[in-house]
This record gives sequence, structure tokens and C-alpha cells, in this order.
Amino acid sequence: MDYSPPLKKVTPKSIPAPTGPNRSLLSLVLRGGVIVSAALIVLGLGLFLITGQSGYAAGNLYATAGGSQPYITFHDIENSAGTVYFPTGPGEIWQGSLAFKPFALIMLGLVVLIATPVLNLILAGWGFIQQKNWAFSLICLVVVSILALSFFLGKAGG
Amino acid sequence: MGTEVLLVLAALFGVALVAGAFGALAGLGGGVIIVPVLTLFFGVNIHYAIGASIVSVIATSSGAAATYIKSNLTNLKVGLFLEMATTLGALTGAFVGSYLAGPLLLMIFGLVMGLSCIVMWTKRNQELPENVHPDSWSRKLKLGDKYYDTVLKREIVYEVQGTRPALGLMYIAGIVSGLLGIGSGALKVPAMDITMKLPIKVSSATSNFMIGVTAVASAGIYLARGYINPFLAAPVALGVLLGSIVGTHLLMVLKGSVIRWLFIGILLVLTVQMLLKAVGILA
Repeated sequence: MDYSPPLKKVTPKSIPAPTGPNRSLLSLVLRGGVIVSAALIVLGLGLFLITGQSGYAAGNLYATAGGSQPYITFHDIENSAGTVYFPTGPGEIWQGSLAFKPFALIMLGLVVLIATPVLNLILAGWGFIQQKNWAFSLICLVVVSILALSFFLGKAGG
Repeated sequence: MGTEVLLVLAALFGVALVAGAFGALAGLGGGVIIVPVLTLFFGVNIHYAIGASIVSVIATSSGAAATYIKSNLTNLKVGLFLEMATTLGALTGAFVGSYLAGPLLLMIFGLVMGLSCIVMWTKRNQELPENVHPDSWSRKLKLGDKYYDTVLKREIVYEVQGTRPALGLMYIAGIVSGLLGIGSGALKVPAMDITMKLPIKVSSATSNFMIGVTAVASAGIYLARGYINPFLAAPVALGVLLGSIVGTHLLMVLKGSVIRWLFIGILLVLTVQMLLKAVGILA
């Protein structure tokens, strides 16, 4: 155990007293979410470029010996009618990622990216609850509820 | 060979880098750059382009918000307060969208942006807002805050006014984003600047925080429908994240008036783009 007195932090700028949730925590969570997401996307994209396989379609990005596999072209990938499949359901993305399928890893990274602002919102709400700032706790709750509603209605709407 | 695919990847990454830097600096999502580039130059279907744009908006927002929230440039309270109206608007937009005539909507959107552009022009050389009179809601919710301006080298204490008209404008901004699937920072920044009289850097950083939350509402839907294509979204996400780091540093070292000028320029381009689309000259 270190019982020496804590070092006084010398900062060049005077950061104002916090009036809302813990900003360092929010900032940390955002940065963490972004880093994890970017790492997964880099891994997935890297694997795709190295192996030439998306993990789903029977096609290769590069020429194969004997030409047994068709090449993947840009229009195979970007087009809705393209031959390259990619996972969209949570279970499919997760299982594909565990199997190190390149496109599943990218999708997992994108899901983490999309989840980051939501997590941030929930943490901010929690911060307001802890400070007993009921007006803003309610505001956070309203925003999260509308987001949830839009998600469910959107899914139902097909 | 896969060279075509590699070239597309590199090009998308480069475009996303620029979009992320501009987006983080101006409080925009970068969708205004990503969507036209993907559809016009790469021939990508509009749904997939919007899917990639939603990813770009969230990446810009999260990439920049970490820095902005820590340095208190983001006014979280204002952002959350306005987000009630924006998300509700996005919900409305997603449902009434099919009943509204596209060209009419683009025309209204274009005119609103043109008007915002003119109002922002009238205070083009303003570094910080003047004569701010906080209203009852602003005082009750304690919306005013302070941040340290690294260019002016002093702490800026500011008040917030016009909370009610801002809610109304944000509802409209939400409808637009629900319809076009974008974060519509181009409407959020002027709304905060004109009605609430926030310092321009605070408007930009707060808009940045907000667009990420708004975009999530559409992201879930686009993901479930299979419109978020990993091949398009991967280079866009990575490029935008890197670009947003550049953008946040620029915001710290640039003067507020410079950011305002930049924003006026972006608004002007968008206004022209929208109006040309409305009359059918631009696809």
C-alpha cells in the first residue's frame, strides 16, 4: 500500500467544476467503444484482404490457382443482388465472429460502434440519477424510450 | 485480380477521412459527403449509401465526443434536452416520410438552410455570443455552463436562451433526419447558434454529441434490414474515426469566427445542392 499523499495534479487549464455526469468516465467509455470497434473492423478487413475470403460466399478476392473460385468484384459486394452475403442478425454475427469470419468481425465492430452512443446515454442518465437531478434523469429516460420505440416500430414496419 | 476492390477501399477510406475531419469540426455527420460520393461515383444503391452514412455519423460523433465531452465543449444538458425533440422528430419523419412529396420537402429543407446561412452570415465575425437572456426553462434546468477556450486562452462562461423555439427547430431537424437517414447536424448547429445563442464551438461539439444519438435510431433499422454492408462500412468507419481526431484538434486550435465562416460555406453548398435536387436538376 502506498500511503504517500496524492500528487497534486497540475493542469495548464482550469477545468470547470462538474455540473453533470462524470465526464471523464463518459469520455473513457466513448474512447473505449471506438477503439474496440476499430480493432474489430481492422481485424476483419485485414483477414479479408489477406485471405481473399469474406467467410460467407464461395468467391475469392484474388486469382486462385487453376481458377477454381470466381473472383469477387466490387459490384458483387456493394450490390443488393450481389453474390457476397454478409450476416445481419446478432446471433449470426456473434457466431461468425467466433469462427473468425472476416465479414462477421467487421459487422461485430460496427455493432459495437452503434452501441457506443447508447451506452454513453445510459451512463449519462445514471450520472444524473446519482446526483439526484431528477429533471435530467427523466429527460434521459425519455430519450432512451423514444430510441427504443423507434427501434421496435422500425422492425415491425419491416 | 482484386485490385479494383483494393482501389475502391482506398478511395472510400480517403473520402471518409475528409468527411470525418469536416464532420467533427463543424458538428456534421459527414453523410452529406458520403452519400453523394457513394451513389454518384461508385454507383452504390441509395439504401446502402445511407447505411454507410449512418455508420459515418456515429463514428464522427463517438470519435469526436470523447475529446469534446472531456474538455466540456459539449453541453450535455442542452444536448439531452434537445435530443427529446430530435428523436421524436426522427420517429415522426420515419412514418410520415412516405406521405410527403420529396421535392417539396427538399425545397423546404433547402430554404431553411438558406435562411440559416443568411442569419449566420449577419454575425460572421462574432467570436462569442452577445446579449444572451436566459429564459425560465434555461434558468430552471441550469443550462448555462463554461469551458476553457484554448485559442482565447480564457474560461468562457455562457448562458442559454430560446429553449422553446430551439425544441421546435430540433423537432424539424429530427423529421429531416428520420426522412433522409442522416444526423442533420447542418440544421442542429444553426438552430443552437441562432435561437439559443451558444458559443459556436459549443454548438458544434453539442451537435456532434446529438447526431450520434439520433443516428442510432435509424442504425438499428438499417442493420436489421441488411443495409449496412461491411465492405462499404469498414473503410468508412475507419477513415471517419481517424479524420475525427484531426477535426477535434482543429476545433481546439481554430478561432470561433473561422469555424463560423467554414460552416456558412458548408451551408451554402448544401442549400444549393438541396434546391437543385428539389427542382430535379440534380439526381
